Order: sequence, then structure tokens, then C-alpha cells
Amino acid sequence: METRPYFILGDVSCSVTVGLASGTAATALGSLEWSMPVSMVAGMLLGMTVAAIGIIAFGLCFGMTELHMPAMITGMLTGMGIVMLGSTQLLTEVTAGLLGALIGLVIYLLTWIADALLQLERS
Amino acid sequence: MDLATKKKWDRASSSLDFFQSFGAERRWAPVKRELFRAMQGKVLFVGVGTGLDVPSFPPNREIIGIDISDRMLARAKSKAKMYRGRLELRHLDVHDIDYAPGTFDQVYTSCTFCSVPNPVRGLEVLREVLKPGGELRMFEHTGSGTFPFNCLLHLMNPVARLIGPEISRDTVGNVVRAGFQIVRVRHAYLDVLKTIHAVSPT
Repeated sequence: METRPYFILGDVSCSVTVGLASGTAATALGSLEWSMPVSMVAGMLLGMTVAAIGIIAFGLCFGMTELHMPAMITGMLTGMGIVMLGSTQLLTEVTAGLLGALIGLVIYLLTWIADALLQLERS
Repeated sequence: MDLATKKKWDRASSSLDFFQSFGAERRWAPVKRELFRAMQGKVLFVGVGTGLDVPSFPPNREIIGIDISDRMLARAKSKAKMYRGRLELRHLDVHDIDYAPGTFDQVYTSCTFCSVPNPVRGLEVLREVLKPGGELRMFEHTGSGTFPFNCLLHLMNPVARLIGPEISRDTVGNVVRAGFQIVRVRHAYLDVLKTIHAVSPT
């Protein structure tokens, strides 16, 4: 697993930024009168698009292969999650962005743990 | 020569160094140096690209680097000149390798078999040009066997394939299907980025 501070900082920054941006962007979908499944798919696609931009931008400095797993999962989950939450309660852009950032941080931590466990499996 | 693949990598040649040379290469350099340290005898390096791997080669080795894209090779020339050893570059598709059977002691690849259109056939060709007992050492990104990474890679693969490599291939399985014996597989990141050490049967 990655232990170099430069790359850990880059990986965390990318996931958190993608979560923040996709969470904020997903609130815009709440104003559209779409059915829940359509809104969720739209939220997921929006999150993936935001993640792709983040992966390219951060990837220049930190490498895309390691960034794209946590960032893409963060974008997808945040996009879907914020659309679902937004349908049951009022979410401001700030709250949605912070929730997205938290999702990004948790996803990064889970990916890092998965990486550590998989690196133990050496044949 | 597979012209569609050549065209794709010719097109990518102008931006590859920009996207890869700083972040990815800095991150991967320790893994690559460790893999390449074992270079010995006559070495074939498949998919030398723009020469991003050349600075990680150990000095004083005899290496032939091939690539399907002549535009990539044009960019690799300056890096190859800096190499302190014998490094010859050739414009060649892995499927069309024209070396005699048993020419090489070792074959190396670095993020290559995500892009070879027929990976098993390509690996079979490499097995043929290796001496019996010769080594195949690879640094490759592959598909994953772990949820949710496997689903994600399959989902993103059609888009990735359009602009560059496939990201959900079973490269370890392809190595076995091509007739190699696996010595060791080490994960460098998740089970997606890995080094593969295999040998040609004696």
C-alpha cells in the first residue's frame, strides 16, 4: 500500500475534492422533476463525469491508476446518494458538498485498507 | 501490423509524456527499478513507447526495445541515447516479431498487454522467441478479482478502450494460456497493478 506522504496527500485530496464537487453539483438535479431511478442514474453519471475531470487534473501530479478507483467510486456514490437524500430533505449546496467530501475520505480509507490486504496476497 | 492499434498509439504519442511522466512514473519508479534490476543476457522490451521506462533500466545491458508506434519511437530516441548500455529501438508489432526462436534470455513489458489486440497470441510469440527456461517479467495493470473494483473496471472499460488501454484484462490468465509457467505475481496497487514473473517451459 502507498506509504509516501506526497502520494497519500494527493490521493486523499483527489477523493475529497471529487466528493465535494460531485455533491455540490448533484444538488442541481434535485430541482428537476424526474423519477427517482432516473435521477439516481443521472446523479451517478454526473458524479462519474466530475470524477473523470478530477482524475485527469490530479493524475498529472499523482498518477491516474491509483486515483481512479477511490475517486470514481466517490463520484458515483456521492452523485446517487445526494440525489436520494435530496428527495427526502432539503439539502443546501454546502451540506451536500461536505457530505460528498466525507464520502470521499471514507472511500479513500477503505480503498487503502483493501490495498493493504490485497498486497498481503502474494503468490 | 495492426494499423488500428498503431493509429491509436500514434495519436496518443504527443500527450503520453505529459500525462504519465511526472505523477505516474514517479509513483511507479521504485517498482519498475526493482523489476528491471533482474535484466540479464539478451533482453527484448515490448512496448517501449516514448521511452518512459528507459531511465529505470539498469546500466550496461543489451536490450532491444520494440513498439507498434513509430511516432512513440521517435520520442523515445533521445531517452535511448542517454542509456548507458546497448539499447536498440525497432518499429515492430508484437504479433509480427521476426526474431528466430530462442533468441532472447528475457522479455520485459511495461503496461503493454493492456493494449495488444490479441494478448494470448502476442504472449505465445514472446514464448517462441524466448530460450527454453527464459523469463517473462511484466509490469501491467489488469482487471480486478475484487468487488467493487472489478465492476468499476468493467463499467469503465469501453470508454478506456476508445482512448487507450483496456483496463479489465485477465493478464495473469493470458500468460498461463500462452503456455508460460507463473513464478510469482506481486500486487503493486490493489490487485490491479502488478508485476508478473513467468518462465518459458524448458
